[in-house]
Amino acid sequence: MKGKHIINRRKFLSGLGLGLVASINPIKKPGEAKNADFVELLSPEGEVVSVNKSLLKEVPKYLPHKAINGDLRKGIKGRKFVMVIDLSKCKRERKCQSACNKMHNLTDSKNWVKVYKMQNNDRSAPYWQPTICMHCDEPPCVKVCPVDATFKRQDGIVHIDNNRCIGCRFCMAACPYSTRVFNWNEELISNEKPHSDNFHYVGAHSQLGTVEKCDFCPQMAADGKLPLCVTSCPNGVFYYGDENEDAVTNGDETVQLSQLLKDKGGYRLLEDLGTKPRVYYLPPVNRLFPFEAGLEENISSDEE
Amino acid sequence: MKQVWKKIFHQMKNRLPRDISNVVKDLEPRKFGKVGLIWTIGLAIVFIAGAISYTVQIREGLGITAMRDYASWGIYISNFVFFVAISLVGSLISAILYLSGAKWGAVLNRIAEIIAVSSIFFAAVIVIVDTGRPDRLWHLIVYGRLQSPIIWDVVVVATYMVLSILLLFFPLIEDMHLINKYSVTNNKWLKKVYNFLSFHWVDSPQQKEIIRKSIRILAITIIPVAFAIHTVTSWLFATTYRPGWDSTNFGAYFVSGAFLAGAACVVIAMYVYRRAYHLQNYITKVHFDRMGKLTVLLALLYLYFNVNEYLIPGFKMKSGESGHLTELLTGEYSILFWSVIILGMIVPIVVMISKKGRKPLPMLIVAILIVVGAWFKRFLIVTPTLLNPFLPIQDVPDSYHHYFPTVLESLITLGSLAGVLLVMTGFTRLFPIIPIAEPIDYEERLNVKGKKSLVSKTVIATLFVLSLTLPSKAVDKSTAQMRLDYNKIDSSSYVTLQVRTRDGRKYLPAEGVIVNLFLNEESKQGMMGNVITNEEGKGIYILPGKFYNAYDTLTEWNFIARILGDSNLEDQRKYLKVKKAELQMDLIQEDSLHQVLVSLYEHTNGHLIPVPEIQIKIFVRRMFGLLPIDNGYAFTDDQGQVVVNYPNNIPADTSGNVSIVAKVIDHDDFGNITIEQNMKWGDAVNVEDILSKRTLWSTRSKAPFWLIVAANSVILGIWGVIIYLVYQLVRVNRIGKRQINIH
Repeated sequence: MKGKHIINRRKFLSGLGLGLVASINPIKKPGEAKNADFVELLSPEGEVVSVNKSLLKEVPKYLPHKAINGDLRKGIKGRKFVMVIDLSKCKRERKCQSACNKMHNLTDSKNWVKVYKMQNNDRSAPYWQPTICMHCDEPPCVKVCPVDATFKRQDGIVHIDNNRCIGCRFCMAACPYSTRVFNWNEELISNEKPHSDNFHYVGAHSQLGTVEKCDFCPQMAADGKLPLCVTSCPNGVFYYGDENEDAVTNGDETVQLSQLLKDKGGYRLLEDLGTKPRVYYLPPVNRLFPFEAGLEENISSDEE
Repeated sequence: MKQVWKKIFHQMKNRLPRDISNVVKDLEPRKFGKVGLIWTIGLAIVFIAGAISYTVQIREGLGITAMRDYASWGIYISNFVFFVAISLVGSLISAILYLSGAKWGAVLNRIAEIIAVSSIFFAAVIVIVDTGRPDRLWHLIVYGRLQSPIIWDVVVVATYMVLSILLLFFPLIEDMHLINKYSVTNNKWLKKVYNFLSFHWVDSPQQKEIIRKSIRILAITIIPVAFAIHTVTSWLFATTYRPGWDSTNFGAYFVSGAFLAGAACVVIAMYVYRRAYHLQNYITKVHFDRMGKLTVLLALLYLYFNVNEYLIPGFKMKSGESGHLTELLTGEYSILFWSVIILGMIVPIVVMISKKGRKPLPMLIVAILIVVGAWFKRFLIVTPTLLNPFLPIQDVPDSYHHYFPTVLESLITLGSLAGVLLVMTGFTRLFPIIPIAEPIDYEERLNVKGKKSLVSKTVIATLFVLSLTLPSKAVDKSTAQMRLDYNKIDSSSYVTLQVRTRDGRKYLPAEGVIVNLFLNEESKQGMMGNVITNEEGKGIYILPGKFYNAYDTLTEWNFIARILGDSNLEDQRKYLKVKKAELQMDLIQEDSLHQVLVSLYEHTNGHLIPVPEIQIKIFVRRMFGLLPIDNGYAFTDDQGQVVVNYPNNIPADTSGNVSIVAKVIDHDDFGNITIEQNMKWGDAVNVEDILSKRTLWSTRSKAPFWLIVAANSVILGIWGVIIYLVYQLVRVNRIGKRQINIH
């Protein structure tokens, strides 16, 4: 093989995998796709195949620690992640919660996703409200952190560096959405570090005496994948996307963010505090399910 | 009483060595008596119990406390606020009283200062105890962020500690000299300490002038720092949005409460020292009377701020505040709340406002009420607010709804309180607690999940046990559901596979299944390759280039997917017939009108024939999905063409590019065909560079300029004064040495 091919060794190797196992990953980033982006790969049968670059899956790179932290802190360039939660579709099945907990090795007392029973006043009807970190654009938690352990990234994500956190819990007091959780005990922490080979994840795993919370799944986004709360929801409640592209996706449908918020009256939680959340809500009107369908007794009977 | 003082003043002024030696004899530190020994050992036991409890906390984490995600600050933080509060008394007595010319306060200087030094030290200790990772405290120095009120607190606490120590030791210099000269003790080690701390004092007017001036500068400097220390501590709460903390009244409210608590501490200390060391001639009833008047004033001031703090939000009862306020005023914490208000403020005012109430014993009782009230007041400020968040407390374990400190947590807190008293006791053993020289020479002075039912558990357990008893041959092969799709992206072709098994109503992905793929015939010649399914039961096979020539001669492809001899799945075959077709896309631009023209052609005998009446889906590629732009009614016409207007409100990427995708989806004859093209349509997105902004939430290297300037000028100013004062000590020392050398 010639020099050109050696440079592509990683892609070559992953391409080798493609013929065998690779999952379907035809997602391209805009601007990267060109008509005749072909690479020549060697198939397991020893044949040279010509493949569109968009079919290739990047092998996660292992980077030395310093570089990892740099990327963890700066975020994904050109992106501004945003979420829309459609309250009219939530049945409180909590699949979002269980999928999130499984992926992040969380116990039930440490839910990053919480589903609240809300009622605005005595006369108005109760509804279910899934809540995650709001990833505010004026994040009160980041303002108060004494050591830059929690920080705002250019892709809008408010992240935590668990190797930096001193455990003062000022951020927990500052967050009006009560989204942050603390590692009070060691036994709650799994030894397994999920996705430890992914640079967006390093330094973001559970550690005793440090704070953690929903991280908007940057390691998934970096792979062009949707967060698990989005994909695990059977009712398509969660829409996730890039505000710069003005589009959000709930796994099934992709819609224009501005149009969605305009058509359905999108709002944000505790708007008057000026925290400018990156999570929008669509009001619980024309609901898919009655509120009662989410009550504990109805959910358990549904499963049997 | 006044007579005694006058007498002493007179004697001292005349420098009668016999009289001075009498005073020194009265005031010099003494060995512990029986009571003193029991007191000290008692404190040491409590302190050690706290220290041992802390080692448990270090090993097991903050989980040993009752704190949880909602009540994330508990008695450690309220105790911290309490310590900071009482430390303010140092500045009250030895700075405010001194500068206002109240001479009577001079006697109480050292009591106030040792309370300040020991409590501010333990404030730092208890806040370290509260952190989850004390092993990372060095991060505060290495990664410290000027925007965080915690850093402000760290700076101001450290500064106040240094100033308090200076204010404790400056007036001690001459005392050290006097004790050295007149003391009857033979303790050589103690004498050495006294000698060192007297900085070669020779009673020269020059030395006296330097000390007098230095104390004055210290007194002036420590007042703003004292106000800052508790104001900043109040900001740890007031900079958040929470009901009960979100108050502009907080700084003044905290500072006034701090002076009250500190004054009460001094009263208790006065009483104890007076009794234990028989200092009735030095700490007179006049001192109690005066401290009483001062304490009434401070209690009234604090009550005034309390009225402001609770009446005004209570008048409005905003939705966020009402839960918190009702809990305090009439709910869970009402008994504690009203006890603190009545016993910690109103009763003391009533008692001390009369002259009889300002006698030593009633003063002691009232002062204890104030100090205990002050401690619980800090708890009422910290924890109930945290248990009244904006969003309801749901989806957490029951223990998260309440806070009641655990035994270990209480022991650690008690240990820190014992530590303060231990430092004070130790100091008293080594140094005179009442200033000897000061009153004479410096006369102008002085904070689940739903459980599965038992039945279902039993069933599951039974099934599990049964499954273990069954021989392994009973593992039935299940029928797989296989899906085979043909896809074409631009000119690359690939085949996708999905293998699933059925489990009741749900489908489960079959992972690791080997599927053989053939073209046209299930033979060695037609063999294309093998695909192993991934964890989602999916697999992909990209058609190798060597087949392309063969494909060109065919008009249809027959794919065969085969599962053969799988250990879990029955053998199965899936056939897929695909007619060769291709999509073409033309992007048309006329003035401001952008159009997407897509054509579908079929390969027939080497010719391209347009295919009519096929639905084409047209999208714009977004990061996580395809945004439809065709309204759902795009069917090819007789020329096999579809034209769609491109909407002008779709943002492009940073270089102005959009990626337009046209698809034929799941067509019976053609499978999936995709074509994608890039176009400079739309405005380039302006990505705001938030990382270079200087804001309060930016990183440490991007702190706002006003903050850098303000903070640094304050820090440099105060520390400049501290350095100047230390230099004054060097001068005193030098002058003394010189004089001694002359003689």
